[in-house]
Amino acid sequence: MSREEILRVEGLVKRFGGLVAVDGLDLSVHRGEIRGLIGPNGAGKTTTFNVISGFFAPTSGRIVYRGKDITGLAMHRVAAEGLVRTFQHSTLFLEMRVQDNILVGRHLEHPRDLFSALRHGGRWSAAEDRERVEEILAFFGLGSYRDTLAAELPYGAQRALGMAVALAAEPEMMLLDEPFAGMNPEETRRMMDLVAALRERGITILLVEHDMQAVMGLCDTISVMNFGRFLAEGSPAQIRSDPKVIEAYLGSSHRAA
Amino acid sequence: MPERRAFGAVFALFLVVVLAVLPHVVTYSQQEILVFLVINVLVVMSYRFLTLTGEWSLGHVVMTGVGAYASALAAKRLGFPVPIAMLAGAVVSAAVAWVLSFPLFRMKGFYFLIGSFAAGEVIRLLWKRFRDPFGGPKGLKRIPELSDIEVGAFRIDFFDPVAYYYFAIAVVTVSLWLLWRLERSNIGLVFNAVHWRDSLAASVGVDTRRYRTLALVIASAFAGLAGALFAHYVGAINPTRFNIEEMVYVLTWAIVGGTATFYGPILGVVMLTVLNEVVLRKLGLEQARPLVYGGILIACVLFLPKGLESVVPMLARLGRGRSRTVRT
Repeated sequence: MSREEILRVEGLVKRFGGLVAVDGLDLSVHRGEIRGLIGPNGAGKTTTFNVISGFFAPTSGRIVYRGKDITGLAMHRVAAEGLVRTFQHSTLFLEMRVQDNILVGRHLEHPRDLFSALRHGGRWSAAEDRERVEEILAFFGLGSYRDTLAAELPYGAQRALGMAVALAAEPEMMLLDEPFAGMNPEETRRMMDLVAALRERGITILLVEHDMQAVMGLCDTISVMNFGRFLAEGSPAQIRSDPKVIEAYLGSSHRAA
Repeated sequence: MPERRAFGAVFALFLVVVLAVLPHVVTYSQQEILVFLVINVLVVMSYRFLTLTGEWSLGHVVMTGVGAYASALAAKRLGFPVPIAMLAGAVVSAAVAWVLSFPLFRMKGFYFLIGSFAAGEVIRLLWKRFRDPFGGPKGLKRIPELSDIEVGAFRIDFFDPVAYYYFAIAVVTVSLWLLWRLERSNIGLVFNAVHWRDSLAASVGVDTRRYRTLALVIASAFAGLAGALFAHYVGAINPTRFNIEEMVYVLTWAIVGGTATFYGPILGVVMLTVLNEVVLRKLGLEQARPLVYGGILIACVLFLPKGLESVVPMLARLGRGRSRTVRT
């Protein structure tokens, strides 16, 4: 298989004082796939996300995105490269209306300057903004919430809005941080459809998730981390039967006894 | 909607008439207070612009001082015409804010607040330390005033508070219009986003530091303009005029009025100035201003945490409820 690589992580290390959260991780993601990143609590998955997306600078190691070294770039620069993350829980502009949340996501599409801002005056500086925001609202089924404050949305819709904001930035690759956390089965199923539909649009997905059923049902390939290191990688079926993975999650039978 | 627009037009007309007539129905000393009030509206409104990104500063009054000193020196030393000097004051204030943004925006929230206070004190100490050109603790005196305008038999003397009041109203109205346009623009939207969730804004490509800097620079430019208006009216400025006590007054206006709406801080500064200059003066208690302001601030935080602006929709609802009962 000679599929094009979109993201490569080499020897990634992140220390917080004496704690080594990520300890020499290697990871390679191909264009167009849905990749799951799993591991027991404290395995360093979220830290890995935060380092890739530029929220933290790594202690050492390299992150290459589309052939370009993005190690240590600030989050807004990483986003400008086309790699956009989402956050856990309801990280939204809670006091703003749903459509304004998405409109902020369009920030990269046209740089803003003071004089055009004074001349236009309104929030909708370009006609294509309106079209694109409408399209994204429809895609995530948020059309009826257009003018609702983000804080007042039901939980499932809030999570969808988080992804809508990210999609508005027109990413080539999205990092989804626990997209199914706290959802009921119905919401999870709908969110899985949305993630699959994002991939249909040509967006590569890397997601961190604890809901094993969702991960197994959705991902093409799964990478497993334990104690900040790479543990295993393979198809959902391979991962499910990998003794190393089972040991990491459940402990070995010897120690359990 | 058309009903609302008509109401807005009537209200605007009413406001214009009141503002035009007001200086002619008050005493001379109250005319002076009106001039200061108009200038203070610009101070507190430029302060509100900064708070759009969620950062509160304790250095804002010092930035008005930067504008005042720069404008005074430009007119006195360099011989700039006063209106040009005022614009220069705004530009210098913006430039100083831009330079200060580099150390200050390494911090957020409470740390920024304290940092901005420290930066302001450094500037004030520079004014005190350097007699040339800042005049030391005594400050600058004999600052050139706005020159008279003579058109034929028509003569406007800006030493007259009423004339300066109209001039200040014009400058402040244009400034507020610019601030309003910016707030309603896509840049204002991003300011909001940076305020509510800077990490989410950064995740979709917003350089949050750049937007914070932009808000600080614009706010400081208009603060500097307000300071220049002050300097050329009073004719004398000194470092004490721009100290932390003045800053606390600005904070009080902003908090008592509320900063969520555009009109909140205006309500705050107008109400508290009326209270101070009319009510307290009549009672002979104007020396008690810090005490009264402190009491009002505490009462406001306890009983009206969203400020006077939150009373307006309440009154509107009350009014609408009443008109409905009348109709049925």
